[in-house]
Order: sequence, then structure tokens, then C-alpha cells
Amino acid sequence: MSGRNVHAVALAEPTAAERGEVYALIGAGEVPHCPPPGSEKGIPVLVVALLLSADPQQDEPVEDAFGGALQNLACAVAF
Amino acid sequence: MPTTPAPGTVAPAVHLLAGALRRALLEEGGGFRLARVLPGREDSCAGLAAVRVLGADALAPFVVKGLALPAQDAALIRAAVRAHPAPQEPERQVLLWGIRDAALVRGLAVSGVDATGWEGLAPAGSTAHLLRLPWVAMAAELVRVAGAAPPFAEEAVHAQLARSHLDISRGLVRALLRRDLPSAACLTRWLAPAGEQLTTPALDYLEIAGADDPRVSLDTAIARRLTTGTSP
Repeated sequence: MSGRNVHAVALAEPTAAERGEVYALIGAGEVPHCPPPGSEKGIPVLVVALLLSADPQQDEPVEDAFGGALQNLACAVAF
Repeated sequence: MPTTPAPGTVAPAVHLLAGALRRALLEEGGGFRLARVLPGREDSCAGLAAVRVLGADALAPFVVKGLALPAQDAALIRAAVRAHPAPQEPERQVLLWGIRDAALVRGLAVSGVDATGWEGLAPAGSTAHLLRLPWVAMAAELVRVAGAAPPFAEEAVHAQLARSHLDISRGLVRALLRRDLPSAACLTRWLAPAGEQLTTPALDYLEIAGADDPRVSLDTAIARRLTTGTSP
């Protein structure tokens, strides 16, 4: 192969975590779980933020509010 | 003193670089420089990591548009390869890195850079055996080695790629039905050189639906250039 030779620039020593991130990104293949049709990825987060700020049911954990609907949302996002 | 990013900073740097590469593909002229885009100085760890993750795609504006690769950018790529050497094991990773690095070496050669003896490169691998897999498995593997897709594909597999069009097209349709936009964008790269009829509507869709993902946008921009010879 003909071509000009190149010398590397200043050495940089990545951390183990950074090397791990590079290996993970390079090894990534198909997306295992895709968003359902018509979904808006940010909506569940927005809903949680609104509920937390509104504090609708002061006496119960936010995930139990509205008959557990919020918990269902969280599960839907996770799975 | 090299900058050391906190864990989790590589992906944003990859997105930053992918976005800049896409813009360089779309713009007329040849003023693009990797060294100007990378976060921080040229010894920035995150920047070098981003170059290593994108592999041959970091050369896309130069190779697709026929631009000269500046010596400083070639040196950056060499530093990235040395900072993130190919793994010695497991075998599957060695093969993956070998295919990617072979594509990088081909891209560098097109740009007039001899990468012989560069520290950190994996032994050259080939995609030929992937194109003999059943179509679902083949599409999944082609997504993983998208950095070796056209315009960096090895000449030896061009005929094999043409024979695999139907299977790759099936993979593209499957990815679109799964709403796996990154995979779909990768597969358009493998189909693009033949100007397959399916590729153009898929690219139209991906350019809109994947507009917020710089890596999807980069893959679609490359595929569009290869399909039509023009920018979207």
C-alpha cells in the first residue's frame, strides 16, 4: 500500500470506564426494545415531572397515585 | 495534560462528531476538519474515543466527497486507534473489530494514508462470511459492522452484496417494522450503491423519523450520497 506515513498526536490515556464504553458502543447491534407505535419517548418523564410538582395525593407515594397508573407507566417505559 | 472525561461522556462525543460529519457531507466545499470538531484539544480522551467508535465513518466526508485528509486529522485517527486498541479476545469481538479496522484502513488508503504498522489495529477481517448467513442473522450482523458498509466495503464482497440484496432488503423492512431506526439506517448503507428502489423511500422516512439521532442522520446522509450522488 502506498501512502504517506502519519505520526500519532499527543498520547491520551483513557480510563477503564471509557474503554468499556467504547467497547460497548462498538459492540452494540440491533436495538433490543423499540418504542411502540406513535409513542413519544419523553411523555412518561414529563408526566412524572408534572405529577411530582403538582403533588396530587400528598398522603401516598407518587407511584401509588391514581390507582397505580403511574407505576404502570414506569413499567411500560422499563419493558 | 490529556483531559480525562467522566464515565458516560463518550456517547455525547460520538453524537457531536456524527452530527459534524453529517453536516460536512451536506455542505458544499471541503473545509471540514476532524480536529476542529472534537471536544477539547486534540488529545481529548472523549474526542479520540468518538473517533474510534465511529471508525471509518470518521472519514466519510473525505472519502465520499473526494477531499484530502489533512495530516492533523490522520494523526488524530492514529492516536484514537492507539488509545483504544482492538481487544485480543473474545473471538467474536476480535472479528468485529477486525472488520471495522479493515474498513478504516481502506478508507485511509483512499485518502492517501498508509496505516501499515499502526499500533492498536485489529487483524483485518472480512464481511464475506456474514453475507452467507440466513437473512435475519445476516441483517443483525451487518448492522453491527455498518462501519464497513459502502463506501468502505471491500471490493471482494461487492458481487456477494448484489446477490444478497433481497435478504438485506428484508432486514431493512424488518428493522423499519420494529421501529429500530439505527439498524434501518445502517442497512440502507449496505443497499445504497445499487440504488435499490426500496432504499429511497426508506431514506425519506429515516431522514424525518430519525432526525433527532445524529448517528441515524449520518448513516442516512451517507446512504443518500451513495444512492443519488447528492445531498438530501
